[in-house]
Amino acid sequence: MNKAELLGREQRSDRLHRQVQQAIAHSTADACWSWPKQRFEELALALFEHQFQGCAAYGRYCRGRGVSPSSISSWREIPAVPTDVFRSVDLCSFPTQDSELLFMTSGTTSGSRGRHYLRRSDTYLASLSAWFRTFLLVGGAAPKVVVFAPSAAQDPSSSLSFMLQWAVDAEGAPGSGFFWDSQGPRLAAGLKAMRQAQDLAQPVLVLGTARALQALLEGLVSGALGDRLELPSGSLLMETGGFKGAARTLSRDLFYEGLSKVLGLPLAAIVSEYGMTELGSQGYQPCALTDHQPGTNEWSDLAASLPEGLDTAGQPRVFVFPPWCGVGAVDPQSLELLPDGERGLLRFWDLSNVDSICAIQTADVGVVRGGALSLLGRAPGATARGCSLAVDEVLKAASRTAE
Amino acid sequence: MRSFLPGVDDAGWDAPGSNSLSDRLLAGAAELRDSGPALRALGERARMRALAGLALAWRDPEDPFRREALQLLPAECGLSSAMVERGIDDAFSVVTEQALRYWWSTEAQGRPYQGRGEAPELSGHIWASNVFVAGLPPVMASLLVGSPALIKAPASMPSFACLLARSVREHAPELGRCLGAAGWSRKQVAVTTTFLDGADLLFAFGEDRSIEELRVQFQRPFYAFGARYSIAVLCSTVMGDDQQLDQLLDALADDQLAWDGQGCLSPRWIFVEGSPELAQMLAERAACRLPDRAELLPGTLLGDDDAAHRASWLGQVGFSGWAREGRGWCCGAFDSSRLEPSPPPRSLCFVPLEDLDELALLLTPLGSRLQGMSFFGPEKRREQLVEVLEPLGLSRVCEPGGLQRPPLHWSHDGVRILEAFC
Repeated sequence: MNKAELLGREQRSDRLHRQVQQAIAHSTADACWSWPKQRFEELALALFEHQFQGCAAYGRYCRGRGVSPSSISSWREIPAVPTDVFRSVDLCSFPTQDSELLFMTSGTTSGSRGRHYLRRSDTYLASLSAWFRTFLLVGGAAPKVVVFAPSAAQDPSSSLSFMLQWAVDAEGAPGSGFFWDSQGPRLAAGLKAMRQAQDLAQPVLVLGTARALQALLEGLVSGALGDRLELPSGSLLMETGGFKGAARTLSRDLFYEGLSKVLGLPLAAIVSEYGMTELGSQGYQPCALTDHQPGTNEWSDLAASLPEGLDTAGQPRVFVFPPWCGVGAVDPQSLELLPDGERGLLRFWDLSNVDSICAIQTADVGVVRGGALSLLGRAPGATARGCSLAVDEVLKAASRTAE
Repeated sequence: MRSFLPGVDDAGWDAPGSNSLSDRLLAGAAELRDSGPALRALGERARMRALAGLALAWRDPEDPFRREALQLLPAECGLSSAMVERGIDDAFSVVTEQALRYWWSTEAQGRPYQGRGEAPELSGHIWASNVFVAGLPPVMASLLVGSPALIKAPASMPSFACLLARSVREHAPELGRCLGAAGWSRKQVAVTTTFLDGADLLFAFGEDRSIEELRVQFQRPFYAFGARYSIAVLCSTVMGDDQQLDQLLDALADDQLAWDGQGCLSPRWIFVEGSPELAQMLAERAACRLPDRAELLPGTLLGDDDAAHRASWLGQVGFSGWAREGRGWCCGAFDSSRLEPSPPPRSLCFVPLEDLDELALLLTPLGSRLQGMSFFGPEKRREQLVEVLEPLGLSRVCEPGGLQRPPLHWSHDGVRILEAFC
């Protein structure tokens, strides 16, 4: 590619970043969480054209499927890329050396790690901050942010750490920080910081992975970590990554009830986050304590209509995504988009993924209605097995032996 | 219906009784052994006639056992009705008097029966997986030589074995009480021990680990059939006109769609001698044929994990070559010779190979678990390939479209099944 083409692509990218950021800013300023269809459509199709032209591998993939910017008229027709592809292909519309950020998946199950290159960090930041503030900042005094997860310095390739770092730096009161080292969560130190805030009646925002929070719960229940807490009013807890392989021994409801009791938080103050490396946007469960998030009552009604949409306390347990991130479910058999309310594999159209891939196909299962997502576990293998060899297992074993 | 044991379940299956399954197995095994002398006294010609008649009955659409099987097996085995019907037809169509005679003449005639002068008194058969007819040939062999047989079916899939046992009584009464069957879980260790104690030789289908455990436990003649994979190979030099090409692709599709691509004879990869472009051309053409083929042999609904795996495969192959999908099928072509990611069930996966001599090396990581190969190309090339693939386990070679219909005398996993009784 010559210089002029590269420059043209950069200019197009910058223009799209501006448009997406403006749209996010308008939403935030007006607390307008429902976009006109046309706005989403125009931006999504513009992003697709940019990615189709800029990312050669994606362009080839789309052409192989008989799809091009001129052949589609709806964002729903944009070819989605399974998250696994991020492990084998650099999916970006710019030279990778020009990326401001590179996030990588944990890669614990497959060996190779997915790579999400971002040319600009400002759109990513605009997206995450707008939605984080909506769901996790109650208003009033800045909370003390206590994080049980690695910081950005400890894990520079983690998109979660990047987000948490922003929360500490941008939104945390003095004393906020990461309570984590190479051994895992520093629970005692984190609790000390929480107790200090408790003594000062300072609201606390606890952010942590499910595994770390489970250790916190066990330590407080057993007494090994001291007495239980009574966190001040306005405190919240965000749990993340709890449903993707963490060694959980409790059901989600019992887990949250336990956390609620040991931290002295109402159940409604516990928020779950859904995010993944390949998405620039995140989803949160509506929380009854934040007054400026999209109509909680509306979500409650929707949640009640979805399978497993309410927790035992009647709180919505659906995830809500920002208006710049569409979510849908596709038929597991045909991979075609399903009508609202039907169970399928989840697919996202994330406009904050300006220079990577906007349409992402996940392996997660859920039901979507009115933009709210009820995340369901995968059904256990319903298919009876034949006498065919489990090739993947044999090849994995063979490659381990070769190592 | 969870069992049909001679002398035990004759009054009606699933009848409430106080006897444990172990006790009933013991009693059933004794009845079976008692029926052996009469079975052997019939002579092989009469046994062949009876078995061929039984097979013919199973292929009769009005046959009550077939009808019951068609009713029960789709849900039990997770297969479509069309697949169950095809499985029955394929399995019994090869059981003819002529085929039995050939089998007898090549593997049994003039044998000393392990030095005893006659066939074993009772053979044991452990069936596994939803390819419900996989264990049929050893049972046919057993009855052919005059050994009564007792089948252990999976607890969740007992129906075909039990229907088969009942149908022998109905359609081949001259064979006597020669076949029994019951379904139980391998977790019922005591029942399995009773079963194994009663058998003089054992044929077992299942996972490698289960087979190794059985091998330790069963110290008499033991023949095991583990999980395997198959392939198809196409030589570019013999690709014909469009019509021939479509016939070839349909045949490949039938081999793969049968048993929902989950059988040991389901071709996992289709290796194409030639360029990535040729492999993609074949995949694109196959994608036009597959919707109709898939409709003829519909699949069952994918579980979530399988669906996620399929979506991932489609994406990965789509980026490294070409892929397309529809309801109940998918197909793709890599742009280089590779096995990963492994194709999902009901997919045609075309892999280009510049030189077929690379094939053995490519398959080596899978060990000696190769089962079958459908081959389309010159005879000489086929012979060369067979020679290099036999050390990888290859035991069945045929033309595309024929993989799933192995003859009775197929040396499954290299085992000469009828000879094993002799």
